[in-house]
Amino acid sequence: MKNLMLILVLGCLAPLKAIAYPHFIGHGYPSCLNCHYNPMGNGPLTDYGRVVAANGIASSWAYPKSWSEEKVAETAAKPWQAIFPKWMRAQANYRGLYLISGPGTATQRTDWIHMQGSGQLVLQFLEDDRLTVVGEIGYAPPPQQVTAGEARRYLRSREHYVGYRLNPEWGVYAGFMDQAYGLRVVEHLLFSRTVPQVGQNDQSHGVMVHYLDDQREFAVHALAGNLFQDRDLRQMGGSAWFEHQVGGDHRVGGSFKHTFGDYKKLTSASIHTRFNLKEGSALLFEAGQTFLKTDNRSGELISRFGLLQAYLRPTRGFYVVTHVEYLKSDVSSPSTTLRWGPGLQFFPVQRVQFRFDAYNSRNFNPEASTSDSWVITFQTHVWI
Amino acid sequence: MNRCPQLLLSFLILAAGTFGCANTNSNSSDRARFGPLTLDNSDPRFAGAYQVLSMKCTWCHSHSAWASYTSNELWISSRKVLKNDASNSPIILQIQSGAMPQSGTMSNSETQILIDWINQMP
Repeated sequence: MKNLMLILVLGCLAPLKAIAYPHFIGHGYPSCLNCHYNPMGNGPLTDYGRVVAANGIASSWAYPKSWSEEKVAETAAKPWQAIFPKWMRAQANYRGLYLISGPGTATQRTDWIHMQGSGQLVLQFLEDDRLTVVGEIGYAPPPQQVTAGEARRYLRSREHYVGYRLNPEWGVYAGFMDQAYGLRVVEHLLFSRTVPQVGQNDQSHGVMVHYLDDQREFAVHALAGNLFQDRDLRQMGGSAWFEHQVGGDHRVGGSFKHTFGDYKKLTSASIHTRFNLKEGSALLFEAGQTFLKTDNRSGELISRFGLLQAYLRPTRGFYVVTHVEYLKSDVSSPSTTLRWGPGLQFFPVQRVQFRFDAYNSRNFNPEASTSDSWVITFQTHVWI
Repeated sequence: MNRCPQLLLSFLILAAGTFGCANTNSNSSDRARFGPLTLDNSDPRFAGAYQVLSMKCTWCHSHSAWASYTSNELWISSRKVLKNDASNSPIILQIQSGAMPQSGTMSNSETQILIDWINQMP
């Protein structure tokens, strides 16, 4: 117990002591719209985003020392500008994950999972490319087990939508997109994504209004549910997300969602902060509570979750990741779960990412004792 | 400028995306988990075991079919359970190793309900 507490304390303090890097707010890019077509992030990069990835994110060791940053930048977007007309952009992604569950135990399991192999196409219309049509389709693993009678689908689209910016501040997006909610960290299994049900496959059809200026950003998302699900399973409703700039470089924000279907109602609210620690480093925090009311369960299930995550950048292209998670899956239960893990993220060259993460989970319950569990992951991400 | 190629491609992007829409997400098993439930009553221990599984397992395995396994046969065919052999059943091994459940704990009495159910399956 003492060792665990020491690890947790060190895990919390380490990011604060170092000259760190967490998320791109640490590079001075507070909004996803700086680099993505989707204002909530994810999906294809804009030309500007490609240049940021080459000049600010990825290591420069692979380029001749005589190359200037301008020359590196030219290799990021110009090839695509030469291939495609101005109104069209394309991107391809591959993500593979090597998963070791329970390392060193009798139940150790290893898997290589092709998480994504997709193509994305963007069409841009009107002056200043105000109107965009974005689509993504490709391979994605279906759940390991599907409900009896349900066909496995390997071909998936995780987003396809039409977006229109009325002006630099206001935009309207309609189609199949991620729900506007919370810190949109990439790890889809974090409690802050699974509990409010905003994971990798939880996109919804709907219409989103997005606003952005120098000091604030918000999105309101009307959700029609996934129209390809049976009607009784669809979760309709809405979500809202906002951030406000504080202290010049940091952001505080919050999210709310309420969805309902034939079998359950889910309401979730969270607050979050993103601190720009400069030089590419950042510190992220989110805490929230979810209320789940179902037909066959008396009362509500109330769950609480928390996330503290740091990205520290000791040198360009390289990030040291630390995260600490908290979960109270049922506030009426004495059981609490903590998950902690270090990680490394490395962009050796633009369009390539390697990542290592370790996750240690421990349950605290006066009625039962369990040993720690470990999961180790190695991830490869290539995009062109 | 001729907009026909753009419009045609836009239609194709949205059509391809729509065609490729996945129908599985966190809500996929809601019907099985929260809808009207009909359990196989041929094994008197199954209802108790299913209650433990539904509270401690299917909650997180929401993408999987676990909630729809409403009989001993479906659990056996899933290979998560080996009939009359709890000590080698993957689901018990995961619980006893501490690997599962990841969000919450399984009490000793709850684990015993599952062990008894598997070992005494008719």
